[in-house]
Amino acid sequence: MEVMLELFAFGFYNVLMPVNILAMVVGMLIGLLIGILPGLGGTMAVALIIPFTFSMEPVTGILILISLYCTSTFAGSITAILFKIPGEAPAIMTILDGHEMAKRGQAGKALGMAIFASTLGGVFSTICLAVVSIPLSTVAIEFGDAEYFAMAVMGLSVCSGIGGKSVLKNVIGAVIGLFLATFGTSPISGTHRFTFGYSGLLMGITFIPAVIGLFAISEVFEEVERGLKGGQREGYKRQEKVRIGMPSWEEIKYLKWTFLRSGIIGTIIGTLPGVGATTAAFFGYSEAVRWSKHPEKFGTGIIEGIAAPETANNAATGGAMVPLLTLGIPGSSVTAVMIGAFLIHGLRPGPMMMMQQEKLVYSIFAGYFFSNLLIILAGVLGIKFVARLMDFPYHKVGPAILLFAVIGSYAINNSMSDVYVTLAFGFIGYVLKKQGFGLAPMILGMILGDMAEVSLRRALLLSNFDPMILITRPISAGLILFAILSLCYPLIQKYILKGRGKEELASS
Amino acid sequence: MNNIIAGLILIGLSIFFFFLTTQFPIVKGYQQMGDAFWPRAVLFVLIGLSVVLILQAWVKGKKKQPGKKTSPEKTLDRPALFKTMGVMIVYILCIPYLGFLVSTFLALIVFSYLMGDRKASRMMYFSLGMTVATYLIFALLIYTALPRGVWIFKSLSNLLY
Repeated sequence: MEVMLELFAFGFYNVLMPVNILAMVVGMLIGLLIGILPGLGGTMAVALIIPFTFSMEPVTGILILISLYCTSTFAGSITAILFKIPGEAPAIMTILDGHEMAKRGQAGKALGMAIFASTLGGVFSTICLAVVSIPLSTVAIEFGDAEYFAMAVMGLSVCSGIGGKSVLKNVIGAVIGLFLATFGTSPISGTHRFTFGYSGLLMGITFIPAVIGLFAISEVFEEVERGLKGGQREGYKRQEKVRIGMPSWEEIKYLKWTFLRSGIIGTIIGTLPGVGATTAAFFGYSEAVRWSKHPEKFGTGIIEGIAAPETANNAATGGAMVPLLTLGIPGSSVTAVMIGAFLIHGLRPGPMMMMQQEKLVYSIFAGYFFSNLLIILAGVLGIKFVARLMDFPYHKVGPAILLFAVIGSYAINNSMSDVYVTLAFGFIGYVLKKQGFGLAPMILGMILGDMAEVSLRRALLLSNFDPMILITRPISAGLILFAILSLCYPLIQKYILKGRGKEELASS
Repeated sequence: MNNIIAGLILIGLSIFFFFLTTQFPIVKGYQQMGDAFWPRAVLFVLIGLSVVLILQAWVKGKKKQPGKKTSPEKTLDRPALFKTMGVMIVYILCIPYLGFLVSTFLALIVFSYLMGDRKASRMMYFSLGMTVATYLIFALLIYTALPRGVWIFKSLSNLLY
């Protein structure tokens, strides 16, 4: 313990050297720009910056990347809240409540909560990273295909509670999402499915363009349809004076379990190879819905709806470093690219580095801690820059959203196919919303569809098509049982309430 | 009635895609649980849920008292919506031909007009400003290969990036 504290002290001392602080600030500014601009991802930015870190000290170079990674994961929420366009994929779930709050004139408060929750989630996962990285990585290694499938089932089990008012339509939305995830090249055998001979569909329906279309373009269509008087939206409230509306002590106390739950979920999901901050944000949100006393309010613009995904997605950034540092396996696409930064400095992440380069490893932990604190500064800068844009007349905001939607989807792969996907999903989103189908469950299905199919098919192939594999492994069985219970819970609750109502009636 | 139509459309589409799954090639080694297995399972569920949606709407429609008037629908600006949708389609289809910058500049002027701006100079300045900002950030700063278009538009974009 004493040695660990000593190493921590060294890590903090090392990170607080002026050159390292400067490196983190530079990383933060790049991350902020990347996060705000739709279509530019943290993975691409890290890949672009790695060559510049070659001439730096290993710690300095890695700190730039860590700071960039943490800030970009947060900054995507700024445009998600203000314009319904996620600057980064992990901000997708923040759209649901964040933008509703912004429409009510509470953009500052929504953004303040996003900053606070992101910082808290990041700091929480840093502590986990430092203290329990080794036990966490051993749990993560136990996750096989059956567990991944069970996790997908657990995620899907909340689909009835999020989105529109009709439970049936929400479930249909999720199933449509699951189906859309099957487009493209089959993940197991490589067969082309539903591509109609069009090469743009070989990689399937690209996720971010689809989300941009579903949320941003359909929203502009709806605003135009509702009528724009003198270029301003009907029923739109001007923003409160945009000060950073940090949550009050009462709000923090009220949300303590949401923060803790999302922090744990985000860190654990971050440690799982192949699933990253986006999935973490989704699970953070869905579990917040599941455990909430008022699940029906999610999606209407409540702070829990921002606190849960934002805590989880930033917690996943620290979590993603756990398998990288302890086992040498990246936990996300960004950390996979980050391996390059270690390698060009002659370092190979893994158990040996944990033992032989302790000072570097603890400097990384300390770097994570300060990078997450820098999110507050990033938030202040970012919000000052873009929050006032909300009050611009809609004949400026609307066209700008459409432009960002087009350039954002194009810039991901420099492909017009992605723009066509955005356009198509803009129309689909508009029609589905008009018919009362929930868009959030559809996104849920699209996120989890691939994971569900691949893990189910692989688990069954490996077990000689014995479905018992799904319920004989303890983690998988536990997750499936939890999913079934949570699906049945509303019915049980209804039954109990009915019984109580009858008793009360009889006694009165 | 809307739900019945939505349910029927979903069933129709599901049957169409189900038919497409029969044309997937069977890969050696994956005969038992091939590539059609998962999409078919999902489509089965979708058909089942659509049937429930139709039945639910039908039962509700029967229960509804005849002659009871529903509240009048809020007035919606459908012409503006259809124009915006049309311009959006034309804008995206024009990008490969006119190039990103020219088509964006023109589309932004039209969008501003459709969304209520009536001052020509303001529309021009806004459109030009946004196009230049996009060019500076995406083409010059991060080297995004923006579509160049064809013919003179290609020559024009070659001059710029």
